[in-house]
Amino acid sequence: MKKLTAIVILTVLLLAPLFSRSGGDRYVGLSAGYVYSSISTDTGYKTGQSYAPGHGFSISIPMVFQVHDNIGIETGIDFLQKNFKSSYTSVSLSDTIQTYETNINSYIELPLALSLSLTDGRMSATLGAGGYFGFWAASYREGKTMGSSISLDGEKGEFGYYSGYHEFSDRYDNRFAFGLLFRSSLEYRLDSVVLMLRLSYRMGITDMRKGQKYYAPVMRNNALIAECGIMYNFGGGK
Amino acid sequence: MKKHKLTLLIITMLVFLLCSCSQNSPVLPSDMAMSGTWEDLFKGLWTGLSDNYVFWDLDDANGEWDKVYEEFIPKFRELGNIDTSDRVATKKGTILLFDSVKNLSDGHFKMDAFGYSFSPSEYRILKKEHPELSDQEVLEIIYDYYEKFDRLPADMFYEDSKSIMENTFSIPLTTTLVKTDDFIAKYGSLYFKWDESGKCNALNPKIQLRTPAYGEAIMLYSSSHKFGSVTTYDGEILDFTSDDVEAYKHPEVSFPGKAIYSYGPYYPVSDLSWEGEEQKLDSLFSDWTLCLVLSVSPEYDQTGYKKGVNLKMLALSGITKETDGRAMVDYTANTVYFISSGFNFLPLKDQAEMKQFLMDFHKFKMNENAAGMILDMRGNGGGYNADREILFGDMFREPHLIGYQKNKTGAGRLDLTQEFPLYIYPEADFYGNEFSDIASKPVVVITNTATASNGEITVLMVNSLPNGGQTGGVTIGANGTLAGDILTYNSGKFSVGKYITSVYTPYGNIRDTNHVSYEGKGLTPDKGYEENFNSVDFFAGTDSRLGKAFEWIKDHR
Repeated sequence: MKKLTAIVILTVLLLAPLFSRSGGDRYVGLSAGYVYSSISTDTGYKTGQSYAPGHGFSISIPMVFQVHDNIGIETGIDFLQKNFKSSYTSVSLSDTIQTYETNINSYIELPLALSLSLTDGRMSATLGAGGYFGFWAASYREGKTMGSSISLDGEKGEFGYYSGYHEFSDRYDNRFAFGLLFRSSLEYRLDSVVLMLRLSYRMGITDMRKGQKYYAPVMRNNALIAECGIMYNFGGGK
Repeated sequence: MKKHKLTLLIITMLVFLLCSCSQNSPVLPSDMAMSGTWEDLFKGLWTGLSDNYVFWDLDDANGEWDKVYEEFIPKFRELGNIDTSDRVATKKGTILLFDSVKNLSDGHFKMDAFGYSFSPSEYRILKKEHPELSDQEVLEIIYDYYEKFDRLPADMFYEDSKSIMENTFSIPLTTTLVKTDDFIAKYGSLYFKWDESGKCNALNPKIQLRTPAYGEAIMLYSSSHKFGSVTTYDGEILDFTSDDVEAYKHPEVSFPGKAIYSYGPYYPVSDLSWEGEEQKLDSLFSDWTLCLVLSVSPEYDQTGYKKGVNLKMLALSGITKETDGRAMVDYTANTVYFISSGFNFLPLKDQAEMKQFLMDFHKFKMNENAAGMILDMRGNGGGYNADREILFGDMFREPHLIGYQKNKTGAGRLDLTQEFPLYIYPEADFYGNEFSDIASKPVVVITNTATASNGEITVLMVNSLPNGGQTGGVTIGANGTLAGDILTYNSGKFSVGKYITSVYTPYGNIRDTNHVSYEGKGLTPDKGYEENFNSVDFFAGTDSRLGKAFEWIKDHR
């Protein structure tokens, strides 16, 4: 499945130079998609610690302004989930225990990208690059951790379970996110309406944590988004 | 097309530039200190705590830990390489290490460095007791070790289960013995470390004589079995009916037709007195059981191998008489009382003798006339978490909430789980499906400066009850839970190479049912029921804190 996806993406990229859009067109639309997000960090000596990628969704209001036949400015407002699961595997002589915490993180982001688009008839293909600025709106967490109040039969209390919304710390949680954005999309125009298939990669630059000056372990989140949507051309089209 | 190529090139360069941003890779504290300099030793300690200490929500609210780094790095840098043959520099560096962690809230925290130990809780207590001393003076007193004992509160060392047995209840478990011919004739098989004047402090020899040749012994003394007992092969307990020594020596005569397995679990109450001083438990309690856990090992002196006996643990439970009265203190009727030296019941719970003691305690809680309970946690520094179930699992039919806990999830200082509930679970199997309603009656806990860890969690439990309270003195503020280390539990204990051999700190951060943490602050007695420790009165037999607990019961029944 992964190979097929890569082949499709590469094919679109290679065919892109055949097409171009119309200068002056303005597009606003609605899109939704699937988000595959991952964490970049270095756990160092904590070899039991791992961060597994998570799955989420996105809902966007994409906006495009064609400053030229081939060059556009893409922006919009995105709501997306950048989820992950942290876990710790503890190995002792007698046992292997795994504890975990699932993070469902909701972000509101403003992307800004410069795009190169090529159009042939009704089909367009675009490649874009830029950045995004986001706000970490909410974080729902659910986890299993080591307890300390165990029943005599050992069946209750060995682990503690919890779930709920994280209470953000002004001191430690970096609510504002910034990163790089890379995009490619395939569009099909039906008069003023454009159907869109888009693949984006958001590479986090900012640390999810703050407030530690020295030897601070950095944690960044990245997201690969596959979305489909519909845009309306507000004018200037040929 | 050239413009597009340029754009693409700029983007690619930017990506590579950003990807090469440095990312701190956490280093094992011991590896951090490998260079052998004071600076790197401190960095190992500082980063080890930064990654693994579980109380940063209390101790880093305003960037305090980064400020510690900034303040102490130049001082350690100045010390250069570690050279333990330079005693002056080593002392200076060690005290500087103490100084860097003195403000941590963790009440369990203990650092062993260069053969010396430091606890921020002792520092806090010394500063409170002696505000006239500077920070440096207090650190030097702690470094000196022996100097601190005179300055720490008296109840921290002199008020515990053993001294309460000796002074309040007149049961001198440890007593001063004098080497005479008569003494050696009676007790020559036992090991004593005599000083030059022919004296030693040791466990009551009458108790020592009852123990087996080696191993561990659990011995019970009870008002319900005052002359001792034997146990048959069927597990039946048969009581002796008099203090006839010969009858005791020949149980087959006292219990004809019974297959005797062993002496015990109960032993003659007369063992508890020494040199004419009679125990006072009978003046307070209508029924009581004392449990002693002893270790026995062969010891060698100039006359050969002897039996060496040491007291490992003690516990007492009882119920006061049926009407209010006065014994060593004014007491309230039908009040259950419990004290133990620590929470060390878990490894012993299935041994028949310990189960018997626990069933006796259970019997007192189940007494339909029981009007309340006193849990005496003075000198109790905690122990096994599961002991909460063993001791209190017959008091609740449903899991009973006693507090909340959070743990670390990552190396960031505030990478913490959300709070999850801590319960005491009902133990129907252990207690034969019999549950006491004592938790709905007045229950009070007596505390002092040495009450710590599970001793304090017992206070949290009592405070969660509908009619629970606390008397005595402020506790130490050590509520965290300990196990494993930074590699097995992702937080907690670690060491920093060969010089800081242990940094002892919990993996779990515990707070009460109102989500309030008392770490580093201690739990405070109810207003109006605080009672200072008066060592003169206490050693003379007047236990005012016990009296205050009975006053609390009387006021709340």
